[in-house]
Amino acid sequence: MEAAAAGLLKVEKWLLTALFAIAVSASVFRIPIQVSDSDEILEGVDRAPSVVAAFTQGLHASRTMLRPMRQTVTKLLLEAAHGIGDRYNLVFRGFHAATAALLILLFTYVARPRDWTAVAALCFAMLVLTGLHTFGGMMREAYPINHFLLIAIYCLAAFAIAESSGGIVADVAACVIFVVASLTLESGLVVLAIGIAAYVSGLRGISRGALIAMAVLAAGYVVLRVAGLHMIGNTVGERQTGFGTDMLSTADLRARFGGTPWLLYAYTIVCSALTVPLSQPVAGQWTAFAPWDPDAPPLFFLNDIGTSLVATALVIWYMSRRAVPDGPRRWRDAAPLTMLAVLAGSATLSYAYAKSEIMSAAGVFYALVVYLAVRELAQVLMTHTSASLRVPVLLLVLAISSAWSFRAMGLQYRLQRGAFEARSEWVLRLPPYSNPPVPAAEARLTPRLRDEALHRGRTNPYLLWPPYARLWGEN
Amino acid sequence: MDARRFQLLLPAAIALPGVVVALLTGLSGVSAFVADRPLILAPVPASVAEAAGNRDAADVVVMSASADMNRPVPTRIPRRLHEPAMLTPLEAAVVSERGYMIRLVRDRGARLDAEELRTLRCIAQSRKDRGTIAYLAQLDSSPLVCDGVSIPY
Repeated sequence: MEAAAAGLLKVEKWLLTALFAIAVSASVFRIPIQVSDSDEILEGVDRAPSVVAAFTQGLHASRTMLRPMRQTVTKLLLEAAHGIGDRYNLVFRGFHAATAALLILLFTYVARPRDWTAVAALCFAMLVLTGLHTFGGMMREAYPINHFLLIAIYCLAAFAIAESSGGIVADVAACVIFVVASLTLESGLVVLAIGIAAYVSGLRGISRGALIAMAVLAAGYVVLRVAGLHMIGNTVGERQTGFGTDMLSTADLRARFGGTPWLLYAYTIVCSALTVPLSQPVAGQWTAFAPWDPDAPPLFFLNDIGTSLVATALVIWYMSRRAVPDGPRRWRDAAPLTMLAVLAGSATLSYAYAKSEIMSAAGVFYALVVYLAVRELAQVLMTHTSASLRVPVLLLVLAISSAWSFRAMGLQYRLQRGAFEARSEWVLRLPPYSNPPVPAAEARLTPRLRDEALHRGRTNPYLLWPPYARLWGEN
Repeated sequence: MDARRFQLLLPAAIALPGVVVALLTGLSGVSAFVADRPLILAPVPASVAEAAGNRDAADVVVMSASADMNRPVPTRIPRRLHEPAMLTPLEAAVVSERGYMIRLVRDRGARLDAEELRTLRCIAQSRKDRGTIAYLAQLDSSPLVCDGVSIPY
């Protein structure tokens, strides 16, 4: 009987996970490869004669960004696309969809729900995971691979290894993940922070020796960047970023903060840390507090901020509790401490400009802690709610869960909208309407990419009724 | 409510909205993978005029290969018009209030004679959209007289 119940529980949690994974990955797959941030790199990498050459090209692609794995993975996918008849959208969008599904599967694997209450909490946490604006950034765009999504996967994988029983394979895997992550994106360095936080909290899946090896590799990364490649950090005005209720252009940033860059850096770090628990500001811009159009007030902000405040209050309540009387508070447990480490690390790395995507790994761990908090709250409520409060408690829980489900549905709208806009780019961002991202003489892939994008019909959000943008926003 | 029932209903209240979202979007995703058509937020069949009126540059390009770019058809533009109206693709492009769309529709084969241009300018004028007014003024900057021009919505 118990074995049957356990089997049913297992089926239920993976069925639920599969539904969320299919929902997200199907919408991700419908987005065509974009012109912006994709066409130019695809053309450039395609000219590299080998994967090693693509990696080398990536080492020297920028003075501020060390992301050679971007070129490497792009080259591998291009080779795969060439191998099946130049089906670029199938390969690149398929890869993005598969990695989106992998992130959701990993989330459930790390959460490890073991009873029905935990499966219910997982269900709620899936809404938080997919409803957060930081999640949308991993799904909506690709460059032409979404390296923020890859970083979130590497972070969850590192945490899963830390939770394991360890061993030489686990240690080697952790080190490999760190190297790959840090050469994918600067944010990949937080994998080291995850290893340290997990170790401090008591997990031993990644040994002390492996942590030392990762620290040495991190030092090697710095040497490669500074001494080997003479790279510099981001400076003021490199990219636009929000300040207050405004989005400042690069010229505005240089004019306002050229003499006091520390002020912008401090603001951006704090705002990046706040965007996960509050859903504001977005990219440093307090969009909810900008003047509203009285004819179409963006009421979704109220739901976004309200649901985030409730979830964050729950997280704070959970982290301030103790598992046993006189024991350490829960913020020192593995998941909460790792969340704090990823939040702080990611925010620090985004000092020069705020971007929701940079905080996406922190958003994943935030959802994980929400899962733990909901699971614990449910157990507390079951034993401590007086008879007179049971109905109001049920209604309140249902209302909060419904509000988060509204946010999660918004992801679907944003992805459909993203597909529409990415498809339109193949007309409006190419001649005669814009300058080409790649000169026509060098554009070997562009005609085929354009053809593939145009002949994949997509939902036009402007033809839908009701006007969903009012429910979930334009972006 | 007794404690036992509460212990059953509480996890259900936590999970129910998520289960509904998972089923709705998951099944929609299966449909999108299998038939290239999601069940929710599914594509709406549209004419080339509706594509022009609703900022769908890609559909204008694709449809222009086979559609009559000068024929007025019933056109829905929910963001701009309360009801469908008989519009040519060029008129729909002006109603969309996007100058690039006028250019695109012309590039894809729509004819623009003096009378049609006057109608377009009058539509733009009635909508008070500076972008399309300025774009059309580049084509004809003569003083605009809209007497006798019927706005088709």
